[in-house]
Amino acid sequence: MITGVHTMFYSSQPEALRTFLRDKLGFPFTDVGEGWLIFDLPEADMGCHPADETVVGQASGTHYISFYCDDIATTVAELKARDVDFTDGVADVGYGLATHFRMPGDFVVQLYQPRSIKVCSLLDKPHRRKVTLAWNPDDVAKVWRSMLEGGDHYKYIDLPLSNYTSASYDRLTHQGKTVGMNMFSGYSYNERSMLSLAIVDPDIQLGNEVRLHWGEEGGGSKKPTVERHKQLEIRAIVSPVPYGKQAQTSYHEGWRSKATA
Amino acid sequence: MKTLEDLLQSAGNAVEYLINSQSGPNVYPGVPPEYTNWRDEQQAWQKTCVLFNLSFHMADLYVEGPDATQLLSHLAINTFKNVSPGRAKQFVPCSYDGHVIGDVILFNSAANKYVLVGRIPALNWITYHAKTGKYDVKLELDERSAARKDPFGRKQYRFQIQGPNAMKTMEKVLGAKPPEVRFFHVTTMTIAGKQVTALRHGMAGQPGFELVGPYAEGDAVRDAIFKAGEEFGLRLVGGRAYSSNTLESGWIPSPLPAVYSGEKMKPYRQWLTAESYEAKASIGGSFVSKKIEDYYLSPWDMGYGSFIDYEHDFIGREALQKMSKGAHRKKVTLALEHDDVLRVIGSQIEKGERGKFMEFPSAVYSMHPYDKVIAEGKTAGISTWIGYSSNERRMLTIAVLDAEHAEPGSEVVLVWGEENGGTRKPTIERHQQMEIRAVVSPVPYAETARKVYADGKGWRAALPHGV
Repeated sequence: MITGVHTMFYSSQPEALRTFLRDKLGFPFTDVGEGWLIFDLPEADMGCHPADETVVGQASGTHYISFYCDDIATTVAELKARDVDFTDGVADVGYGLATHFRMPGDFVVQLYQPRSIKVCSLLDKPHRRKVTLAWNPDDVAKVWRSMLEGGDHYKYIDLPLSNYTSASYDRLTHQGKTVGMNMFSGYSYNERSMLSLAIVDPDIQLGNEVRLHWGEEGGGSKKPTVERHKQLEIRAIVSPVPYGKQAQTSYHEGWRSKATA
Repeated sequence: MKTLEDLLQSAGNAVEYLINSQSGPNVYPGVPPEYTNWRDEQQAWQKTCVLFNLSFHMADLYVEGPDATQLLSHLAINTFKNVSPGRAKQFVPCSYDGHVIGDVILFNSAANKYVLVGRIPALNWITYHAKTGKYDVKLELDERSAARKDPFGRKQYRFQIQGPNAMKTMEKVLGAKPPEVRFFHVTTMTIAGKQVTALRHGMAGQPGFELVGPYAEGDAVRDAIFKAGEEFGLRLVGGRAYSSNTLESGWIPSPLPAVYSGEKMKPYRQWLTAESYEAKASIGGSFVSKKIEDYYLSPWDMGYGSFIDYEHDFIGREALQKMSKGAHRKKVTLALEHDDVLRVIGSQIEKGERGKFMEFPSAVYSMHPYDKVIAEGKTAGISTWIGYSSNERRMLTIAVLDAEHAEPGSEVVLVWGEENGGTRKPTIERHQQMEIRAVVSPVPYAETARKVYADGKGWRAALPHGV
């Protein structure tokens, strides 16, 4: 089976072009000896276009290489900052937004931002995923304690279902960075824990301890279900969906010791 | 048809029967659990104002006829000398042994014309005597929603407007100052073009009204008040907050009707069917005695000692006269210790023993809660209604304690949960009992009501009615 695509530029200045690809475009490479650098490509696709003998470069039997990106304005700015020489401005060419730049050896190559979303490549990319969060019991108890003390308390946690809107979006952070959202919260009598379902970034691992920002900003929105309250960061362990025996065991063995904060 | 007496006979012991009742949770009917959120709904009755909807959870008994006053007076510990058309009063019937059967509000609309509103046991007792005695009276019972096929087919709506802004809201909706009426006196007013009967009422020391009219006109009246109350912070109160309001004002909603024992009460138990409230009732909690009589409350227990009028002839008079010479227990509020409450709640999310789940804001899990209260290692009384007050930021209960332990500031221990992992009631999950320390506090607990108490106007000014 084919495991990749190899491309080749025939250049009058091969060494300058290799330097350009390495330093300006920033592709990682393998040095295979004698000055040859073989570059890894991030992702590739392939198309077939009807030939046009009257247009230079489109005669039948021609291959063509161009680069694409997610955000052409940002990419052009990055490349210009590295003194890449663009031959034209960004234009809408129907299949996307395109521009061209020069490479050593009289190349003018296209850089474009495709209009269509590539379903196959999305499947291969790392995605956010659904996880269960097991809430730290000490932090949950803090919420209830605040109900018995003066001043604003934390947002009331109703049992067994703790949502207070039709669509809950609680911020999740990990090491100070927003890493997802918490979407459905409640108490499980079986697991003896507050649990919630959340969507987290790909780099968040099972066992990580994230912080769930419980309650709303600024004392709470004007929704009728929201009493004045203050926010609390509740620690929660990222656990599998569905919340299985394995998670239950690790929770019982030592809640915090398992955390890889 | 099976009777209550049949059920008790086959069960053998009334306590066993009632603590294992299969009736299930008691849901406050007709209104949503929360209109907004129960915390704000609780706070509104102390800070702004609220509209309670009492149209569904109580039964109304209409009693009319030449012998109506005679019948009711014969069943009430209260005097009827001060009863006259346009007045209302708390009506307290007792058993032959001087124990409370229930308490309801009696409205006198015309000579020998009454309506009594509240929990059904007192109304069943009246009905029994009207039907079996030689009284020339006509009765009509308008059952509570839970006991009827058409839950919303009530004859009358019943609202209360309560809280510090209640009178401002009334002034707005009436377009004029509300009429000056004495406490527990009735007047009429027009709201949204509808004639409304209004009982001057109050809660936590703040004046309010109970409003009554034909059921079909209820929505129009409620909507007009709701609109008028918007600028005064009026909130509608849902079922969750409603059932907790008595904790701040100190009325005991749930004395066990004293009908389950005694030869003299036997004909009544044979009259009550197996489908009656009394047959479906449940007792829950840590207080357990083999003797059902230990669950009965006296008028003094409930704070009604001063209601007793020995000048008239009524059922229970001789027994009460005897009891009046003895020591009486006292009704108090128990303010539960935070740390112990949190231990119970926290046990739901920890390994180890799990306490009886404590629901917010009402933690009541039976129709007649009876928890054991301990002082100096001995049973010092019982605790009844229990729940959380967002206004007081505490778990509170209404308890009845031996006088020596009833002084405000005394420390007692409430035993939370049932013996041996819990009874067979459907509302009981397996759990373990936990002790909660509590400070004996005045009744009513609410700060504003306490002030009225101190002013010497009497805490009864703060009685709610219903639940």
